Amino acid sequence: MSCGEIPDGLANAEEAEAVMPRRRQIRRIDKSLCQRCKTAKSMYLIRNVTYCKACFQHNVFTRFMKTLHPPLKPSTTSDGGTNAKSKQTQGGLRPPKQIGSSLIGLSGGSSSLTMLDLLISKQYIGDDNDRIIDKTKGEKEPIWNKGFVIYVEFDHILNNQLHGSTTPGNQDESLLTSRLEEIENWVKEQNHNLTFIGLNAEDVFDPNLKKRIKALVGIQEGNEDTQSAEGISVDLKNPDLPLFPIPSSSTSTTTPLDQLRSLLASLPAPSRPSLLSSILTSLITITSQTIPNISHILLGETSTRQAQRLISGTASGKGYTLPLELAVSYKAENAITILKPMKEITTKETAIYSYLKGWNGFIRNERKWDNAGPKSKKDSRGKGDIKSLESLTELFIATLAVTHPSTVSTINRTGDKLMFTGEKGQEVSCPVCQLPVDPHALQWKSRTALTSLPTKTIADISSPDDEKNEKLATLLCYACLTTFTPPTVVAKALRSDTEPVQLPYWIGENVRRKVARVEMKEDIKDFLIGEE
Amino acid sequence: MASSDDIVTTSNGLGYTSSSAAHPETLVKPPAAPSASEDTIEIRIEFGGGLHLLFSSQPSHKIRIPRYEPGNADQLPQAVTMRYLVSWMKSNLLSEREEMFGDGDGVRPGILVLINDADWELEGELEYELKDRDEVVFISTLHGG
Repeated sequence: MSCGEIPDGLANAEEAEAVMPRRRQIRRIDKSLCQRCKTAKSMYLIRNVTYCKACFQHNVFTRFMKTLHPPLKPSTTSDGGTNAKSKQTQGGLRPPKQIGSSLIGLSGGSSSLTMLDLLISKQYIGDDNDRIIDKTKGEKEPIWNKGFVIYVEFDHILNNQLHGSTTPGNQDESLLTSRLEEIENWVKEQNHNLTFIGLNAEDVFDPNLKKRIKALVGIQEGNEDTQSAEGISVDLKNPDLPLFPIPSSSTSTTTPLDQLRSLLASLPAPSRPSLLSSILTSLITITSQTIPNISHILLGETSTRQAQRLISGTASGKGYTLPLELAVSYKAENAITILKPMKEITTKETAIYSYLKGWNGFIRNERKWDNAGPKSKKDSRGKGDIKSLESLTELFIATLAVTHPSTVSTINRTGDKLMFTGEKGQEVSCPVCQLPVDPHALQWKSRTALTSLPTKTIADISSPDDEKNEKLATLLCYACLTTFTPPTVVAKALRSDTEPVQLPYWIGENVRRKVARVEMKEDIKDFLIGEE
Repeated sequence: MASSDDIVTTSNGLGYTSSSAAHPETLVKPPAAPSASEDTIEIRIEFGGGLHLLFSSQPSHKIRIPRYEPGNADQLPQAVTMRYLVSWMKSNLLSEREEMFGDGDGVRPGILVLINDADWELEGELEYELKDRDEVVFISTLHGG
């Protein structure tokens, strides 16, 4: 029988089979026994497999191990002779001890707490006391001798509507600082000699950030730590984003918090989460570079969050760097390796794990970045706090996962096939997100996007002085350029006399370093040997 | 009437603290008294992942609900289900923003529900029949990182 030819009389039955039934009925699993140990009652349903409590915890740890071990092990035989057996044991055997310490990103959500608990309880991170490990007693050699934990507080810039106040800063001060203290106390309670570094999001505007980090860790500050207090500001009116240096001699009474708030206020709500994400990444990077001897950064990104980043990243134009961001292990040039050991574990599993450990009241899973910055009337379009692409995608995936449990794994399997197409070592990085810039993105954008109308007198805005200023737009990657120049920002800025807004110090430093490199190359170009 | 009111309002952990004193209009009246036998069961509710902020910031609640679904006097008594509990919570415990917890009959996607420590998908989800001293945990997993 060939398809398309349905004999008469059978049409209805065939049609019924051909149409997939909608699955919104209650899933009554007949297997009331754990599918792994087949003895205990099944308690949890993860990806259509049932587990009892003990098998569930074991399964989480096994998957954690299988993701964490391979990037830490030295690569196997180069002749490709790794047979199936050695591949199987690759996930099981413990990786060798690493030379440096580890920096762990803790957000206070279920995934990062689960990751930290696994790292401590399974002795991946030592307690820095150099004692001899007695393997006969079941003790294991720690992979990293010491762990540093970093937490970044974003509460100061959020509109905490639940407390009835939409204006930041009106809340009780003790409420605002308590979350950082809570996390610090929790880390101390682990009794594992972990050094806690608590920072605030607005510290990206603090010229003394590196000094503070060193003080928190207890390291002597060196001369190189006196960061030049020369800031940088950008004019968002102009699509070229000209930059203006702010000399260190200028006396400004604005606090870092006010500077961050004014930067957020100048961007529309949908752009704010991606800026906050860059702020978080840069704080972690700066901390890892300030503390000596860090070999790895460990982040607790789950497969659910990964799927959301894949889809929202593609939608916002980050496709070029997605393969790097989503990899288990990523090492940028002159940077420290970032590891994501929770990549194969879903948020549901981390939530159950955290509940079984009794951290239920302590965990705060929601980031609430959609509530950052001032609220405007237009922002109320989003239903239930959804204002950005990131949270919309998250809700979409969560809704789809109810009826289609393999949503997340399907998205991630597809994402794993992405390959980075840039050339290693030749990458130019974006000053904001510090990821490689697609050299063709801006050319493409200039051909497709309408950046100015010929009838409007844009010429009034730019003056001869602008020629001397560095243009941020030419340095940014496509996604960051979209963050800073959405049409609403430019239109709004044109209507009002907005002052250039100050940018965080890390962006200024990266721009200066890039300019210096270009100038250096210009100076020596006559002496460079061509590629013959 | 007075005695049945007592059964519901004297249970601790309902969480109507100073905020409700300031806004008495938010203090929701307890549901209609159960049938004359006053057959109620105790349910312990816990919230995780920050969800308690929607429920008067109380992470733990101990409530009493009727054993049988009200309104079925002429038919065989039906035991209360999770469906009843969710709608009861929306009317009586939720202090704000209903759309962040409920979604139609059920709960919003992204909220994990555990009944006596077990995944509710294995217990029948909304059709699970509640028993006395059951423990129900609601955990918000959205944005968990």
